[in-house]
Amino acid sequence: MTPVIELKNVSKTYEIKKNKVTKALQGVDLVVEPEDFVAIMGPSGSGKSTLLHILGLLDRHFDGSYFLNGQDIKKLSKDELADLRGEEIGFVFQRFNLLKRTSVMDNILLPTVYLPKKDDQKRAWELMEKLGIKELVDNKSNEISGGEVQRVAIARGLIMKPSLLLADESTGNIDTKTAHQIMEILRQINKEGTTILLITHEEEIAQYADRIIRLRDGRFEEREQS
Amino acid sequence: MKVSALLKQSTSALLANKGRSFLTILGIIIGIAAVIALVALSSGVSDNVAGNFSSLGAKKITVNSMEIYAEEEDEPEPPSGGGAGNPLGISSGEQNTMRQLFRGSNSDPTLTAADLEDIQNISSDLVTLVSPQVTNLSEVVVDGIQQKLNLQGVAPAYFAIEESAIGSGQLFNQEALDNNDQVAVLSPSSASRLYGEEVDPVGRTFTVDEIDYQIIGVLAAEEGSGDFGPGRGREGNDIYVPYTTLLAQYELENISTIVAEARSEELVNEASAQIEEVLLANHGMAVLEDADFSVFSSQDILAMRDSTMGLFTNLLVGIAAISLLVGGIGIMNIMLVSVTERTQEIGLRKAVGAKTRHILIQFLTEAVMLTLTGGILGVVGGRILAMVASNFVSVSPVFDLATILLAVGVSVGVGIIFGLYPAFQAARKDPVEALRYE
Repeated sequence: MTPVIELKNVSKTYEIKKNKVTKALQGVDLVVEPEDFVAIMGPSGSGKSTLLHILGLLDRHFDGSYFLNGQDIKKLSKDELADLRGEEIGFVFQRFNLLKRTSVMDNILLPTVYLPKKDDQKRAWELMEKLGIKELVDNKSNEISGGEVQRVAIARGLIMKPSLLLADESTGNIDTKTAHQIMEILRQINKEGTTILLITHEEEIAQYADRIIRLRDGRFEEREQS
Repeated sequence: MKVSALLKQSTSALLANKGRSFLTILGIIIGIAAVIALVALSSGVSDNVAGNFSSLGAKKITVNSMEIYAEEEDEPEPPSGGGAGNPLGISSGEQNTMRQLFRGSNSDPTLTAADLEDIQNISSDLVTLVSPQVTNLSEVVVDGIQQKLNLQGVAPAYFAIEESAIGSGQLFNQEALDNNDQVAVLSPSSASRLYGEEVDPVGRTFTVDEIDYQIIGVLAAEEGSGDFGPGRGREGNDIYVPYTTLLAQYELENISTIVAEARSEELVNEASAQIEEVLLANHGMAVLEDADFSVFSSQDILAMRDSTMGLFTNLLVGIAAISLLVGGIGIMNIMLVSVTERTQEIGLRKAVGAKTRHILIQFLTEAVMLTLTGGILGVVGGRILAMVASNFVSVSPVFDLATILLAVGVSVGVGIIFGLYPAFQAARKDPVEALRYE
């Protein structure tokens, strides 16, 4: 089976000052199979965000290779990358997850503005039902709680039926109880077949994943969950 | 990309800051409203002027006595052509027409009885009616009360040329002319000035310089006369008397003005040329520029009006351009602020699949929606402004669909031009940097 993610010797260097560079990622290899639930942990500055941006096709200026569902992303144009990102990857960010003063429904349907499909509305209703936010459909994003915001963001991340859901510190801004509820939802979504890659610095949250990969100074230290 | 979703999102983005959006487009609203109102009022004036001139008769030709500037030591040489002496760029022909329009009667008329006779002798295939017009501002005495009115010495043909209908009594005829009869026909306004609205003055007499005139008729009131006519027509404070009587009373020989009517509108220019030729020969002159008379028709006046209106239109276009430039810069400024404020939103949109062009189109759409709204509100405001202003200037504003569409089109154009740079700024944002933006 083709892996969803296949990173080969990926490195990323930033020039922070003239003639002074910092290595965010150093020769990273990673394979994520379909239906995997992977957590990437690491302290601040370990390269987590850089990795997420590369995996999310937001940054293509790196050394090494990245195959998403077998496609070499370095061979794709900017527009092709945007299409692939829209179709294959769902994002759940820690902050600035929803459009301000926009309804829950419109937030969920945001990716479909750029890649419309026939049953968008039906799928949105199904996701809202599943995530328990149906009654919020007409609420504006500034009228709902932090936990509800993340549920809406998950619904938006799944609206295009992506093969990969990237969650970047998705529980960072919410209370512990709600954070566990969100993680239960992600776990359920993973069981239904969506590959999830979670970035977190919280050990407790990472325990929901099948695999935890630790990132330190731009390098991996991997261990399997029991 | 879903167009309906794009419009919905652009609308909600603009409505999220209603006050700011309104203030942003205020410049556009004021600019468009001012232009719409001014164009509507100037079109109203233009139609009014055209109506007044056409009521003078499109076939009418007027010959005026004219002093020769070059021979007058105390009279400055009139400016000619363009340059610093003629900042409006009016042609010498138009200046001549203007000079004739806006000066009073020549104190020393140059047209002679022979000139009148020769014009009358021009083929009736070309010129059908001819009348002299001798004007004298006189003290008219009625029941011991003096009033200043224009005594107009004319021939019966004058009333036909001016298409003046009699309201009460009768017009004087050729016999009155031949006998130097002391009879008079009043314009409606001079009748009401001398005798009041309720009194029919036919049969009464008035005195001018110790000569008694009997009133034999009052002209019918002319409908639709506005405030922008030449002010010397049937609605003026005129009293019409046989010109022979007036010449005799004041021992005058020459005539200040001769009016004629061409057989048709198409023949006006040919008839004018014929009159010019006859008069140049009579006065022993070679070219019209040297002549002590001028010949012009209603068509000359309309041409001058068109030229003047053209200048006015150019002025309006200038005002509009400046106001829209200022409005456009305001739009650009606010759109740039909006792009900065919404940096994270741009990052989020790119993360969920938006391409560079999608972001460009979205911000451009917002700019165009702003200016389009400004344009539409400006058109509505301009209409209201023109309607209100019309109550003060006695002009009916004329709203032209083409002007309205042009104004709205220009608003959209301003949105595109001034929205393009902010939209490019938004579209060029790196998604990673945009998502990190605090």
